[in-house]
Amino acid sequence: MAFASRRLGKELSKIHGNLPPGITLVTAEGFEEWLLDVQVLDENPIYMGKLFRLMFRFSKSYPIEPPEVTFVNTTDRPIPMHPHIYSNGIICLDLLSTQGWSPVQNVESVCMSLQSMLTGNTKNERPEGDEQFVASNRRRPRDIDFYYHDNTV
Amino acid sequence: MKTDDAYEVSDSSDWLETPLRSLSAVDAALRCQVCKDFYTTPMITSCSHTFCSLCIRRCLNNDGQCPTCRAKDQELKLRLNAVMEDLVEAFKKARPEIYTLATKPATSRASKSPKRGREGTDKAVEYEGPSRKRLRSTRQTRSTQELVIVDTDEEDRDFLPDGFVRCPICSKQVKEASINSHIDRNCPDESYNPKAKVSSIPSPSKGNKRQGKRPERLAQVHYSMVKDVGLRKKLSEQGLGTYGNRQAMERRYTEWVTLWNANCDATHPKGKGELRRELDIWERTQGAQAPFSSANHIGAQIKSKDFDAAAWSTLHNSSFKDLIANARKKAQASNSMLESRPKSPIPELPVSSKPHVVSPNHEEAQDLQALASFRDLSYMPPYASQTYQNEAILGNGNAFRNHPPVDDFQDARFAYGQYSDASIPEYSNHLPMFENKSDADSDNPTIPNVQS
Repeated sequence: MAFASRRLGKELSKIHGNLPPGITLVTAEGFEEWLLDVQVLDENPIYMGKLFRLMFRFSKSYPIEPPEVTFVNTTDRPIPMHPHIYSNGIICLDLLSTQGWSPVQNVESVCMSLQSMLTGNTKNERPEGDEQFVASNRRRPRDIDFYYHDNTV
Repeated sequence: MKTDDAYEVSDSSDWLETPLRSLSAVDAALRCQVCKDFYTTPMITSCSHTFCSLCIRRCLNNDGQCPTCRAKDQELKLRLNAVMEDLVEAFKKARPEIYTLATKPATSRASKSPKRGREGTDKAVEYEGPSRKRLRSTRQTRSTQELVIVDTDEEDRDFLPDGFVRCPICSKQVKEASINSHIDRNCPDESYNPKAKVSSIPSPSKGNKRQGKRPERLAQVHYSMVKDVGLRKKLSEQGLGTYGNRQAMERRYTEWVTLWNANCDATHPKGKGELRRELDIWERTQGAQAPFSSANHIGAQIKSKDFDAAAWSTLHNSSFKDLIANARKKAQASNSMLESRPKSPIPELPVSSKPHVVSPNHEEAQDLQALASFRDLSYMPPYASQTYQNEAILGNGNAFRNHPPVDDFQDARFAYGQYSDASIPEYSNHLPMFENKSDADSDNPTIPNVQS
């Protein structure tokens, strides 16, 4: 079995029924794409009562390479408002970039990071230049060179 | 060792449902943070973190940092963590036993424990689950302790273990109870010999002793210093394939060195044949033969100067054929639907056995560029809204608008989200024949003749 699928198999068996509160596994068919739902647990008015869907896409070099993690827009799951989340679901987070990623991270830890990133947010806004980025971006999230300047989130 | 339990997925969380919840931490501490499996040939970094040899070598090759603390480190500085290896081996052996005991229904445990309580004097019996195991290990430690004492006092000639006396005739150590019969039988060689006993106890550190000639480690290569010829030579020296482009060869050699060096660390190194098989697996999943090799580099790979068009076309020949067959089916279907059109834009498409990729002498640079840009464009993030996708196609897909088979393109790209990664290159690979032709005879909007 390939390296990536072995590791994902382990993660999956751990995830089943063992996820932290507010995070639920939606589908994990195969070792290429998983969907998870994330919910903010405290009473943050921006996200109260809302569910958000995360999509993980794994390359064959996972966990050496980071997974591609984005929010997905469905009828009842919007893209969360956040100064580091573009309206097409692309997340600007150091952890998910090639430089910031570490193989000790896993699906669960990424979900928790994103959950806490939402929990700690107070700004009901999109990143600067969102419209332009969304209209012009043709790259995969991991090929985008974000400039990580904000250490407050 | 990793293949042994390829289908058994054990995890530290297994213990959480048993009465032995605390074993979960023990289990987790014996696992590599990269592969989440028990350590295979654990190596310790300069920052004192431990990983499987293969895992940490792959990580360091990738970014030169410790996965846990992000400290810079080098492969050269890795050292074997032998104690951890012994621990893992011991725990791996004990684990199934403990687990079976721990997961036994409570009733069977309850019926057993009083019985043991009666016969046992050992405290360990009071523990429910792993009592038998505990008992055994306690005894083991005791006996080794005894022997260790004997061992350390070996030089002290006057020392005699409890219950032993020295025979006045042969000066051997003899049990006090049997000293008389010993002398009666003319001092036969039955005496207690501490040395012999000690050496018969298998000690884990002795089992680890590396015997025989160890294979020598290979050095990683500074690829910028090596020309293609030199790299091919290096590959064939190791008995590896020299196919694929430069990048594929570099990656193959790097992976081989990683596998090889990790194997050098192992207590029981595998044979070269076994390693080759592992490299083959890697080649099929992540290397040159991978259905979709590491996605992000494909554009660059095609654009690169020494892109091997012939190898590329042979590699994807079957996908091209499938696509032509599909396209023909689609074309026929739409043909029958659009009979109002005066002239069918779809000519007969004879299946050609030739590869359909652009030939090197055929405006290569331009075509490859176009192919690469299509590759970028063809990534339609499935999280994007439908309108976003439409916009993208109308905005950047102008090149295709004059083509009657624009439906096919849109289908192909809209469908992308539903396909696995493996199917993406089919579409992008498929492109050259359209692109190529659209440049060559753009005033003739037909599907090009695929017999290039």
